[in-house]
Amino acid sequence: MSARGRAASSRRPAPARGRVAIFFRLLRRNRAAVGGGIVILAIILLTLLAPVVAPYPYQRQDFSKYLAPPARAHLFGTDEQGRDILSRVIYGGRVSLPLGLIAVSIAAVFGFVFGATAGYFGGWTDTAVMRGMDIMLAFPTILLALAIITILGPGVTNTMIAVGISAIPVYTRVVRGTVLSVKQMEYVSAAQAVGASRLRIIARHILPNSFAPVMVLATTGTATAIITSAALSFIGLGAQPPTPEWGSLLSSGREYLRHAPWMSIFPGLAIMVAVMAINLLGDGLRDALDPRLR
Amino acid sequence: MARYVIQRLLGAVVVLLGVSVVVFSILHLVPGDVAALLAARSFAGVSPEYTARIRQELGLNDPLWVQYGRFLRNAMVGDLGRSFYTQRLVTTSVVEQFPATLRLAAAAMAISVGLGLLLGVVSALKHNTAIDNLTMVFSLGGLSIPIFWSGLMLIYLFSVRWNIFPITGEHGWKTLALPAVTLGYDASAFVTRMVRSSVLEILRQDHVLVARAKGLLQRVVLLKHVLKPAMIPTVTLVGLLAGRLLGGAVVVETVFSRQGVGRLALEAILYKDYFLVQGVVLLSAVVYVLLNLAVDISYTWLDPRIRYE
Repeated sequence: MSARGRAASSRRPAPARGRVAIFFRLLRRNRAAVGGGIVILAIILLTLLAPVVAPYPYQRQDFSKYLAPPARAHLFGTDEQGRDILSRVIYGGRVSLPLGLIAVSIAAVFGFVFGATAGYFGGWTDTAVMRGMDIMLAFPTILLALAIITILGPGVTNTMIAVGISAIPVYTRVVRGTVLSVKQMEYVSAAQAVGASRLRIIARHILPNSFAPVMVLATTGTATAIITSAALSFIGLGAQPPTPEWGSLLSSGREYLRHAPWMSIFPGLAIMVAVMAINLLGDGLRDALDPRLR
Repeated sequence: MARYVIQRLLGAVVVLLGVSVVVFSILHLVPGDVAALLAARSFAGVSPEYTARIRQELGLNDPLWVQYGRFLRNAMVGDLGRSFYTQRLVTTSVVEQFPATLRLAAAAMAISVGLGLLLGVVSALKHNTAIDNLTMVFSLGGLSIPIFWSGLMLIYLFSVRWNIFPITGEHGWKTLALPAVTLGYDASAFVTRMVRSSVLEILRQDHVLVARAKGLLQRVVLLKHVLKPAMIPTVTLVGLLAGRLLGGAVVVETVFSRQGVGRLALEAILYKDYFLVQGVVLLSAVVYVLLNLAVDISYTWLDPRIRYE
């Protein structure tokens, strides 16, 4: 920090913009996280531009070329109906990525509301909310998602909801823990002392300061949600064929493993690359936001 | 200590009661009329009289709390109804499939804990070296590679290409190897990361410095003052891993066409065999809760700090 910067920071507490700048500087320093971020951006661009970049329409069949191995015309080979796997993988991202993102948004929003309520109000509210979460945590994640799908029925939307709901307790716990510790901070007591309303304290002081851990959790959570949703599609409960989704592509590839392994290799690679990139970014975010590591 | 154990036991009872309510509601939240569904599957066909009779037999006309009371009472003595299809007792079907899943989970647990301890300790001791980075990449793979894909790739390489392991069947350890490695690698990443960070933290502590300063052998410092305390937090992982392994079993059993509770659950859902779904979900949750309870209690014995809190 320059001398002028130090003088400025001693005059008043670090402004929010300053914190964001520090955060980005730390994040940029982490090469793995930057790499992960770039890969994610590239994948998102590819899926958004799917109609332009995919070499073929994902549903076009070419029966003269079914189960063709990777070659120049079909870089990832073709499936049992002569459809181009590369195109299907690119289009598959349009289902798999939003699936993970929306599931995590559901979990994070509800987790935030429950966790903040439990942490801020404490007492009976806290006990009731957290007991409810304990009950949800008593089910292994996939089994809880399976139970929810039993009720809602299979399909992409219901998979999102099921994966989202089953992740709520994790977010609730983290938010509650953070809110509890933020509540003890002096600036909250100061706000109380100058007579700020309860709503103002929650909205202006507690929530913004509890946001960081949720962001980290949501990033790695997206990776987990993508895998869980793909797993559900793979076992036949999520996206149904002919929708090109990474998990369901793998599930149809499984039947041709002996004669056309490329049908399984490439959709799996797509999941792995996307999830790995998100995890790298998530680890980087955690390191940049964790003051103990500075 | 006794107070803590009693508290945890009571907590587990509350959670299990909640679990039973959730599982009970599955039958009442599924779309459509369960009695009509059952009637449609019998030879008698869907006549309103027959449907009404089934509804009567299942007690679906009683108030919900009466039904829940009956469900809970029956569940306590292991009666969870009969499968819609096979007409066999749900408990029998689930208990029958448990050993296969248990074998898979135990083998996977052994692999993940063994691998995780080794890699975690090595990468912490070689902190910020190439070995550390390599280990972290390997464990990142465990977190990022979906088990249904790694399973398929192992089948392709070891069964289809090289013919080392049979693809399916019950040939003892030979058919267990690939599924256990698939599931174990997936879970090992958590163990590796946790062991690594707990060893790193302990290495920085004063008592390690003192042990070194008084001239103890490096080996003794490592074993007695670093590894022993580092093992304690990994015990809690066993409880958490059990959940991941139970969930993962659903997928791995499907990939490898293995018998087991996971596969039973999946089939039950696909065939709308609701009593069976209830049974599998309830029993898995009970096993999971009891296991975590056991871990928590053993933890007080391993880490005296908790006893005196």
